[in-house]
Amino acid sequence: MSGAPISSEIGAPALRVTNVEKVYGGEVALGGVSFDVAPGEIHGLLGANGAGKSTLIRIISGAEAPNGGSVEIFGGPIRTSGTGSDKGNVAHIHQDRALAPTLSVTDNIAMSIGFPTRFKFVDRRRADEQARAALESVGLDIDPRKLVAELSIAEQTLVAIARALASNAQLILLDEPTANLGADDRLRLLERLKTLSRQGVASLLITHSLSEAMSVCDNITVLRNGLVAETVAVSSTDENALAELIVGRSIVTERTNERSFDPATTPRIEVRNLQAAGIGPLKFSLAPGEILGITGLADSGHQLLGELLFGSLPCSDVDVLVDGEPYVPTTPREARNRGLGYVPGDRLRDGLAIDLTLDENLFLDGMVYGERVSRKKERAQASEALRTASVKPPIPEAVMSTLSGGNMQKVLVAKWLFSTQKILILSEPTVGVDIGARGEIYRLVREAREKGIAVILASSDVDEVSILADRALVMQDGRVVAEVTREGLTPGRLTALSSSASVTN
Amino acid sequence: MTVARPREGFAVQAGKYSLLVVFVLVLIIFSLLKPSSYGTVSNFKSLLAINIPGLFVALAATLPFIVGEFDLSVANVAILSEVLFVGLIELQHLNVFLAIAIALVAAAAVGLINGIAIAVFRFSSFIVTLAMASLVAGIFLAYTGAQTIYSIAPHSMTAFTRSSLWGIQLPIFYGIFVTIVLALVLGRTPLGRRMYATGSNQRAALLTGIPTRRYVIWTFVVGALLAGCGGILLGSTLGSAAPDTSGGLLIPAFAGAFLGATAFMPGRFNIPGTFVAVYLVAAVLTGLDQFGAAQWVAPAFEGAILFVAVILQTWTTRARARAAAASRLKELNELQSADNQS
Repeated sequence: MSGAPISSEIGAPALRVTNVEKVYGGEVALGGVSFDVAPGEIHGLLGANGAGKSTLIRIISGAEAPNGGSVEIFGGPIRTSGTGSDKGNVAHIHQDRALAPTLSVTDNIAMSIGFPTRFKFVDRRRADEQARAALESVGLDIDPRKLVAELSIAEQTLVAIARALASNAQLILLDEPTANLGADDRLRLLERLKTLSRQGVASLLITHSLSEAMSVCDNITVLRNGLVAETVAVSSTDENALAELIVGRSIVTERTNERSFDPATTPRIEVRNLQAAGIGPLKFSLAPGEILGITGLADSGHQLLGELLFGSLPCSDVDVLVDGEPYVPTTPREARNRGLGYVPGDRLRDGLAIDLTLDENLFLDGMVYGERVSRKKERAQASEALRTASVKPPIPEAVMSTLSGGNMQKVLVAKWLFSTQKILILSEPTVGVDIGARGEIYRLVREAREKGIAVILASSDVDEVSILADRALVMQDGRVVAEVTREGLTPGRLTALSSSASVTN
Repeated sequence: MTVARPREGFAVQAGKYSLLVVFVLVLIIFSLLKPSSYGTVSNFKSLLAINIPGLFVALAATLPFIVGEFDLSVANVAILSEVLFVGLIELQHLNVFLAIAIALVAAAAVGLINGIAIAVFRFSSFIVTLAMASLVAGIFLAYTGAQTIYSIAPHSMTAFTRSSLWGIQLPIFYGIFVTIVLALVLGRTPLGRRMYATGSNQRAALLTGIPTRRYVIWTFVVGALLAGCGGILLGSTLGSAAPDTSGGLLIPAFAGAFLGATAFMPGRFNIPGTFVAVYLVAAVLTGLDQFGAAQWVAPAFEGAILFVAVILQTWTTRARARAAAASRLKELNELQSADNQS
């Protein structure tokens, strides 16, 4: 099973999208989209949430038929299939990888390309060999008998790709494969993609990360409002130009303004010691109105910090002062009462009541900024908060599930921001959020800072940390390995510190 | 271009009150067909009064749904309380208040065990409450020796259900009072909001500072107490208690909860919805009864209603999602035309 695609027509592009239109109930989602992907090309697909990326992907993967236009794979039609079925020529690697976590890698691969049998029984040994061969095609050296759940997210993505290639997929659609990955895993996965492309595999990569698109893609198509804003060669563009194409206007990536903090003031929160399974000892403090970035690779522990301080994960040893008073994280309720707020990184799992309305989500515990108010007043307050946070639509009665990812995240940030909390912990606040919404969220965080709220920004996104934070800590294996002051806050330096074996300041 | 959205929006809006409209239509149609027996004030009053125990059990079934769980033991808990209430007075000669107290404590104990098993130990509510339903049936069968207990006894046992105030049977007051209180608590107070939040996403609720475990436990306890009240009212009205294991109370209760979730707050389990749904089902069954419906009609109809209600409940949720998707696309369209203009 090699990864080389089988051309059905010599010289045909791997993917040709011609004038694809999609209309939902009289509404235009795609208004005539065209572009080509050559064999062996990594083609980026960028665009804000709601620009039509997902619709286009559903059409290219054959999950939906277009109202007009055509999609050709190597000059032939799309052969629709369920994820990873052996008949399709397009493999859609979903964000959730669509693997069965409680089965082994071997079984997951055999599920789509078939179980080798012997006397009608599954031949385990040959199944393992077949899996090993498939894994080799993506350069992954793991025991195929391992359960998928035991693998890292990056490895799971590679297994999904290996499975797709083994079942003769000719085009791979990657839907934000690096979301939730740390910098190190991210680089490794992107390297693998480049290797595959040199072997002739064509892929269409959807991503929100401009630097990622710039580093790995050959060409990039930017969608805006259902139309192609432009298809550009990476060699002839840069991140700012891409960002402008995405939002349709120039965006500012300016840093948070500088501010000096008087070391004599009582810190808003002072963590004198914090330890938990695999974490710590940690020690840091934040002044009122300070943004402290905490970054590192995905498994470095910075993502757990929010839950530890908010009392939803147990600490083994803890010594924290809030405004000079001892605070012991026990329950989220206690944390809330002590003025902490927490925006979790996995908003669907931990943050949103998806089938409740926006005002219900803003005031999920039924209190409006600590007070019981009438339903009417609550709606008015919600409406104001939604407008301030530029949530679209700013309608309190709208159901949460109808919002785009970026707008959902704005609601979550707004939920704590306009409350009377003094300390805000943000975990990966812009994962899967488009550039426009990202700018809005940064604005909200800075507003919180102006109000004297201390913000702990736990983020794997080094660009974000260097733009937003006053100061940053870099973590590795649950420990802080470096503290970076404002002057040293650059993405490059943070990346280097996150993954370096021996740390020098 | 924009025809689709208002239509779906209207469908959702209309859906809010369609159950109420159907209810009124059922009353009118049967009243026209049987003006002398169905369309009378006394028939409506007795329809209301007779189904109060069933209403309590349906309300008991609705509460766990709101916090994202369910309770299959409510019907048997009601029967346990009924049997204890009648039996303690009739066989053990306890006074009425003590009998009520013990019957309610027993119900609450079952709810507490369910709640703790589900909220603290995270067992599936399906298995826990199914097991508990059977266990409870065992207890009331053992207590009664599988015999119906008839009371020859005190007027006090039946006094609080067979009396009337202003010509209206007392149970009607109890049922309407409890319905209004629950509707206000769930729809208008922070407590209600927290319960819906817990049901929608327990982790999100927890991370907002809502003690979700406690809420789930208390919901099961209050639900069991409501079921217990339903049982006591039933025993008192009948003046007897049958250790019925047929599950005849359970299906209408679940049908009421699910059918109710299609009304007022479509897609969401809610108290006014359950109230109307319970009486819609009762109104139809009473009507069919007056046409001499056979014994199989009631369970078949209740089962069919539960089936249809589940489908409707799913549909209303999806219709809402579709309407929302359409409005998002419209927004996109506007953006596009704004972009083209600039």
